Amino acid sequence: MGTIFALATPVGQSPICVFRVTGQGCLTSLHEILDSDVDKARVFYKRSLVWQGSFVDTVGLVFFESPSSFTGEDSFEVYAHGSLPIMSKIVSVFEGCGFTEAGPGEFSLRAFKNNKISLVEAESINDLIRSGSSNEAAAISGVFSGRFESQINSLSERIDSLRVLVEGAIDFSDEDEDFESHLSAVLPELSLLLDDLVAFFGGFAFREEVFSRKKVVIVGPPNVGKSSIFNRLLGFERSIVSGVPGTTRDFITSGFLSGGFSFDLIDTAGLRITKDDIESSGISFAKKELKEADGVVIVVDHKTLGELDNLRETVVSCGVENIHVVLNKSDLEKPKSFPGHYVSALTGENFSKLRNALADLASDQPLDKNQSFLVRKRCSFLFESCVEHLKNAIGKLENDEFSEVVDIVAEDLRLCRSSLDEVVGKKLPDDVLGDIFSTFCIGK
Amino acid sequence: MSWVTFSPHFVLVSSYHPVESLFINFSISFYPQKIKIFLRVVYIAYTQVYFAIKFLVALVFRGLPTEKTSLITITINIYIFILLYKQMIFEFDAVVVGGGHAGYEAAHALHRKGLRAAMITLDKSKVGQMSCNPAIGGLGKTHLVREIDACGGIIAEATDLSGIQYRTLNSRKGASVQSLRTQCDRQKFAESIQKILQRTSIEIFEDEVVDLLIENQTVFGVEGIKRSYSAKTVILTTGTFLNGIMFYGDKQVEGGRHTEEASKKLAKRLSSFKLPMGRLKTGTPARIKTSTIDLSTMEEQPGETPTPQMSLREKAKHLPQISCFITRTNTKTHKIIAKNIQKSAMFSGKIKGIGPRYCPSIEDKVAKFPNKDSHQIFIEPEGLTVDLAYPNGISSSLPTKVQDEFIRTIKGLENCEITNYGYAVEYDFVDPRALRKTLELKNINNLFLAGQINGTTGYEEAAAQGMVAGINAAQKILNEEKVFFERSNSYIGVLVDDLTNHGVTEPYRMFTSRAEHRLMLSQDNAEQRLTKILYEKGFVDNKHLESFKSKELAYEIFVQENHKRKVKIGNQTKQLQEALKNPQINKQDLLTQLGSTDQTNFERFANQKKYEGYIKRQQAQIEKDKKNHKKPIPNSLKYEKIIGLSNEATEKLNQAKPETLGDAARLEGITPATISTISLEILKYEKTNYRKAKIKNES
Ligand SMILES: Cc1cc2nc3c(=O)[nH]c(=O)nc-3n(C[C@H](O)[C@H](O)[C@H](O)COP(=O)(O)OP(=O)(O)OC[C@H]3O[C@@H](n4cnc5c(N)ncnc54)[C@H](O)[C@@H]3O)c2cc1C
Ligand SMILES: Nc1nc2c(ncn2[C@@H]2O[C@H](COP(=O)(O)OP(=O)(O)O)[C@@H](O)[C@H]2O)c(=O)[nH]1
Repeated sequence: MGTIFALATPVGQSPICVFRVTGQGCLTSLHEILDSDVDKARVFYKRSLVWQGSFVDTVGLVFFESPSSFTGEDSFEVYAHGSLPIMSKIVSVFEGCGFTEAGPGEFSLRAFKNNKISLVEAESINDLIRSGSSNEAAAISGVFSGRFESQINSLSERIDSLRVLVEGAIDFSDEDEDFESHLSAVLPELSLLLDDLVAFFGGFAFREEVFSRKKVVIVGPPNVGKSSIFNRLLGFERSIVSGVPGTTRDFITSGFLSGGFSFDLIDTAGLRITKDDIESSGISFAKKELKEADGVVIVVDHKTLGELDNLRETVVSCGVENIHVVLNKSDLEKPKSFPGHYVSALTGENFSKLRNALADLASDQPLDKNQSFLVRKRCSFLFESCVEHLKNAIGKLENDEFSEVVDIVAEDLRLCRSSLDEVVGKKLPDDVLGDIFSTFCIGK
Repeated sequence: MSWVTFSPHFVLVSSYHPVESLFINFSISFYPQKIKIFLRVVYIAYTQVYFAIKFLVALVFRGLPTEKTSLITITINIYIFILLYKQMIFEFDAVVVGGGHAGYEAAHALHRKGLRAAMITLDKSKVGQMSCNPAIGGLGKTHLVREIDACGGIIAEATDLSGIQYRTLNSRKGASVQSLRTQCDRQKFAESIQKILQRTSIEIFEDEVVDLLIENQTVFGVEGIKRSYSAKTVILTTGTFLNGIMFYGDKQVEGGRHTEEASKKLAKRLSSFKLPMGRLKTGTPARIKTSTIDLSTMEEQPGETPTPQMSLREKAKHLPQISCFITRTNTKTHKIIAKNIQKSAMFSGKIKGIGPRYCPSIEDKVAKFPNKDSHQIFIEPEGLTVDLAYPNGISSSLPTKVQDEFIRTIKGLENCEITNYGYAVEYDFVDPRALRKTLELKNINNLFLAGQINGTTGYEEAAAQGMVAGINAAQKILNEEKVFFERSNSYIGVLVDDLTNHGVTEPYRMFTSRAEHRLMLSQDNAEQRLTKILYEKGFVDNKHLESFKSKELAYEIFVQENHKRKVKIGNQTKQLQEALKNPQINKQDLLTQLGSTDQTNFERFANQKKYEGYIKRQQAQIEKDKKNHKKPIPNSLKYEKIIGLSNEATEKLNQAKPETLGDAARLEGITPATISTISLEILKYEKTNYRKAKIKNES
């Protein structure tokens, strides 16, 4: 895997910005870009960043050696001055070193691959970054701190110790060890386990329910500045990373932090929407996007002001209620009166108002105080299946002779265990046979 | 024809001659293989055939001048020479090295496919030898035996020909975890195997293989001490013989089994291939004269009646059945062992190989579980006619004097006579992760490994691998499709998958808990799972298929006739199929109510109902996987970008570039979890592509 880099702070004017770089062997590039070498990991250095003989910026720098880093690979962080020209200069320095820009979540991905974090942790890191409200962040960090995983582990261990007895009774019935006599302990422990499992699950809040992301779609005629607005709303000058602005013709979905809430913005760049189009099937995709939107931003400029009514009608016909009309390029010409926001994507005029207006779209349901973990919906199915299997096993044991149902109980315990594995996304070592051998005297 | 099969044995086996060995030893490094073979053939033709023909010609054409008779002699000679050439040079489709349990199943599979197989073994009389306890079957192991049987193999048949005590383990538990265990007459078992092999075209040679003939990473034969054998495929099943060392307390002897030589040259050759290899150990107890054991003081354990049978197909004619006996160690025994424990090869640190935890020596048990003051011992008869018993449970590598002492403290063994002492054997094995799922080595074409050489232990495990290797070698020779056993259709699949994916950390033995589809894989339904598949591949004969089909038909008729019949449970009346869902019912009573005596089909139906829900769930999953496995993997899919794939998996996938998910699933080291991750990724990938394409169309 090659070396990747990413800006760790949002793009925009700020005192400092931080770049993270990771990749095996990336530290060798350091002496190419620093005026003097650095030798100790985890120490803060002040250095000049130079590229091909010319000075770029005075920066702070810390490096980490594999495997003692977040990703498990060699990594370093650069603290530079937070101005856009410097940021883009640093980006080109990194590209010159042969580094590539990280995709979303790629740092966590590498950490996961190198076994530094579990899947739930990887997920919760992403959530943490995107979370807006503070109690959400707290619940997520419950997962991230490993508290969540250690609870799952202890549940898994308890299931395993029951499996030792049950599997032992099956595979070693011809042995000296009287497994059957241990089996009486299984039912009471199963009931306890079920109670604890249910209590543990009671502390979950599901991310998708608590905080469903709001979807905002930007529409408007070509060249009115939709992409520019999109970029500015994101606080993210895409020119740094993706070259020429206004050329994106794909739908871009991206997180958007505003007033502590998150959005997805969908830029239907260049799509001209007329009533005819909406009705013709060719455009059904855009229509579908509109129908799913919680809010729509219609952008026009002075030249296209005449199309506004038509556009609005179309959007309303798609059932959108929350509509914001924006007149862009106010730096060129100020409107006398306009029933909406007038802004300039170039200067940023009136953007804070626009941001606030959009923030109203989101309504965050507060978390229940007792809910200590915020997890994704996929976990809920897995937990439901855990409970179902345990209940099943208990039912069998209560009603039937143990030996008659021991194979079925074993199956339920196995399935329960593997659902728990799936939650953390890695197969926790299950050495039931090994445990049997170390606990009981087996073998002839 | 008789000439053809006769000649190699007559002419060649007996013709080990200094001159020939000169050819061989001299030629190994200097001549290309073909020339070497040619020279040998010339030599043999010259010495053996020429004189015989000359004599005959002279006899028949008594009146002719000598020049003419010589001409005739030479002409006939050349003719016969050409005729025999193919046979003489020992050109086989496959050479199986080893006549153990892996060896005979491998050779027999090749024979079933009509191929010419040679079996080379150190001692012909030991083909089919049981090196350890004289029993076949056990939990998980019986499943393997029945599966081999269902695929046309021979281990179950030999078991029934030699079985002297049958018992079903877990008889009170569910059908999927029941296992029939058979005590065999050790001698009879090997004889039965040898008899079965005699009925085939397999040629057995007594020789030690010392080298493999390899060119371009492809094996084309083996080099024995007596001669070389060329073959399209080679299957190595050398068991514990590779660099085997036996430990009798402080004494060490090189050898593979008691009184048998180790294979050192072959081991050296194998290690030159840079295969990942390791060392394991196993042990065996002393043997005792039955007539000197006081059986009257022990608990008798008779066999089951009526006597069941191992094979699902052949109706067996059983030998007379006898009992096993149970006795126990006591504190006195343990004291002696504890006092001498440092003298055990295991504890003195001489043995570096790892032994199986489920098969510990008695000194292991005493050391690890000091609180237990008694361990159970089964006294198992070695046969009907031999005065020998196998004390199952006191495997040991203590010095013989200590063994003498502690064995005599055991109740009933006070005055016993020990014929052989227990020992441990340490041997080389090849890390099975170096193998494909066909058991062919990844880095040497046409070379297959099977049996204990792959780090397993047990006859059943060895036999199963032997069959898999034999089948796939045959398929490869004939250029036919590989035969994969799946985790969902057999314990054989579990075995091969575990070995090739995870390797071994101790000698690998099968257990039912290793099979996640356990509820579907019972010892009774092996034929239903495998027979048809293997028939289609050509390893099961028509007769077997017909008998299987008629059993299936009988079952269908039984179900048809009975599933809706009303039966009484307490004061309720229910349909049979409903009644069977309640595990508490008295099955015998139901059968009487039905007025049927068809126990087999009734049990089968009852089990089907009992496990219905679970089996349906698993089946649905398997079907889903199957469909999923047909899915093509897009060329441009980047494995390193997929969250949830380990680096090892990514590397393997990038190397192998599987075309479908199924191909990926068959790679060694790729787990079901990995497959479902990739499958999700493909879905995502397809969605984005679909979106992109759509947008393109629209704009
Ligand atoms: C001392 C001992 C204790 C054991 N204890 C147990 C136990 O407790 N439980 C259990 O389940 N299993 C045990 N086993 C294992 C069981 O016997 C084996 O797993 C099984 O027999 C292996 O079968 P195989 O076909 O791989 O090899 P084997 O049956 O060992 O056959 C190997 C064959 O290869 C031949 N051979 C070897 N080298 C050469 C050569 N260079 N050229 C030609 N032929 C060669 C030999 O002649 C032999 O026929 C024990 C084995 C031994 C030796
Ligand atoms: N003067 C001025 N130009 C702008 C403003 N916003 C966008 N533009 C320019 O308008 C052109 C089209 O912008 P773009 O964002 O690509 O429009 P889109 O096609 O609607 O996505 C680009 O050349 C921008 O630089 C603005 O507020 N003021």
